[in-house]
Amino acid sequence: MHSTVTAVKGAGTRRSFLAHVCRLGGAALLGTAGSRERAFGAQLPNDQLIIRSARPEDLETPPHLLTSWITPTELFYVRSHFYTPVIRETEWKLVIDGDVDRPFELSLGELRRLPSTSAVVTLECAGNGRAFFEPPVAGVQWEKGAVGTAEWQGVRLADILARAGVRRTARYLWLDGADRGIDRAPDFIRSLPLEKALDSTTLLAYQMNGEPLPVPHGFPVRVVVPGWEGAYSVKWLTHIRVSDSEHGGTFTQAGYRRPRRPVKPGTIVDAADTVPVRELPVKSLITSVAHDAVVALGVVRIAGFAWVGDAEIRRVDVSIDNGRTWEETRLGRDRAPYAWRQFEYLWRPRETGSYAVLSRATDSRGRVQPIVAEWNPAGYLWNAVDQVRLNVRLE
Amino acid sequence: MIGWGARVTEPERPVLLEYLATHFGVTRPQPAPSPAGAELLGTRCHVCHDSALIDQQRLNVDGWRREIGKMRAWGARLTDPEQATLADYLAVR
Ligand code: HEC
Repeated sequence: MHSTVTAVKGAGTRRSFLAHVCRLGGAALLGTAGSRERAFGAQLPNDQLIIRSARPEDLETPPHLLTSWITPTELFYVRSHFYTPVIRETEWKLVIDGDVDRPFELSLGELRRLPSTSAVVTLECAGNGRAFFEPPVAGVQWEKGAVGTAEWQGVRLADILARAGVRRTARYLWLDGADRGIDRAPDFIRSLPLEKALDSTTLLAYQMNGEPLPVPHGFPVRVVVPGWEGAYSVKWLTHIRVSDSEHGGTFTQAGYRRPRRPVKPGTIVDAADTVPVRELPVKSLITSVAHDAVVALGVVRIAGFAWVGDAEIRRVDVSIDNGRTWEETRLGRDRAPYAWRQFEYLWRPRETGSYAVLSRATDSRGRVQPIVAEWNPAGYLWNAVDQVRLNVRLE
Repeated sequence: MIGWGARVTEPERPVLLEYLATHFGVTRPQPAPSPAGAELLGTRCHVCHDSALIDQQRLNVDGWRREIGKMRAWGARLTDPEQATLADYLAVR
């Protein structure tokens, strides 16, 4: 059977296009990006997403479309370092080796037959908000919407590791997917500390929101590392190598690191003075109203989401007077250990005018979302107090 | 004035600007985006991805030098002088 993603709505045209690119092979590397890129863009699953890059595929969700606790799959942001690999379901296998007593391989059928679990987890790209850093830094210029929440179903990574028999020397897992560096670019490999791999919510997910993982989200299997920046959640997973050390490649030694101590904005920081980016910091995002919305004088629903990687959201406050005073919002009922929490505040403006609406989250460890995000050379973990403009008119 | 219809050819421009700068204190303009830079961008950069990834950046010339250096390591074909020309172009265009 050739079908890989038949269960995914609207994936047909997209798959045939991918197959087409594949057949072109090397030719896809040699220019004429223009016209083909546009053709691809036209077949993206949802034209409401902001295309930061068509190929490799980087798509951002406009915040005002994030209205539900669980993000609909077709609105979920996409981040890919390299071209999306095409994987035949029947040919896929996962290799587990390295510092283990019993290295083994799994087919997709075998993986699906193992005891499974599901969890609602928020994923956010480390570079979400990079576009706001001054001075500017290189990288995909994400604004606010490289974040989303899905229900992931799959097998606990801990179960797989138990079966392999992790040796005492093991400290990291090297996670590799089927995507390959383009030309001389290095392979995208991440290393996950063993302790986090053993967290009962760390999954090898093969379903997203009740359907097989769509190709852009890592079909057939991706890792889901809850609470940590999105790049740990390696897509198109094919190889887990257990090791006593961190992987030595670009995407662990150069990428996804931040300065050990705060630095003057614009500084170039030596890799030796950096640490890996891990937990997502406390953050909130206003999704209602949309930025620069015009509303009629009356009740205005101010709402959004707040999340943090290694704690719970305790409260979210909003300000409508440029941060002079803050009002506590009501938190939504839906919650899960590593999922965002919705907040809502109904505001009745007394007068027409144009207002800055701010939101600020506080977590269970007392950490408050900062007013200024910490500048770092790669523009990671932007988490400054959120702000949208709201224009209130008579009509 | 060129916009108003005066005819100045491309080679005459720097001469005229130099004259204006010396005699009338007109500030020298930023270096104009070079056609050579545009050519390099078009032929060497749109190989693995389209221009969106490039256009959205807000880098200065040093930032561009570093970024182009990274792309060369990944397979973009440029010489050192071409890297400098392209960085200057991307920073001012
Ligand atoms: C050999 C293939 C290749 C060539 C040629 C290439 N790039 Fe890239 N470039 C990439 C890939 C792959 C990415 C995406 C990397 C990622 O998302 O991590 C990228 C990303 C970028 C980015 C986004 C920032 C970043 O580093 O991720 C910029 C800017 C960029 N390229 C500029 C250029 C310029 C300018 C040129 C021409 C000198 C160029 N590229 C040529 C492969 C290439």
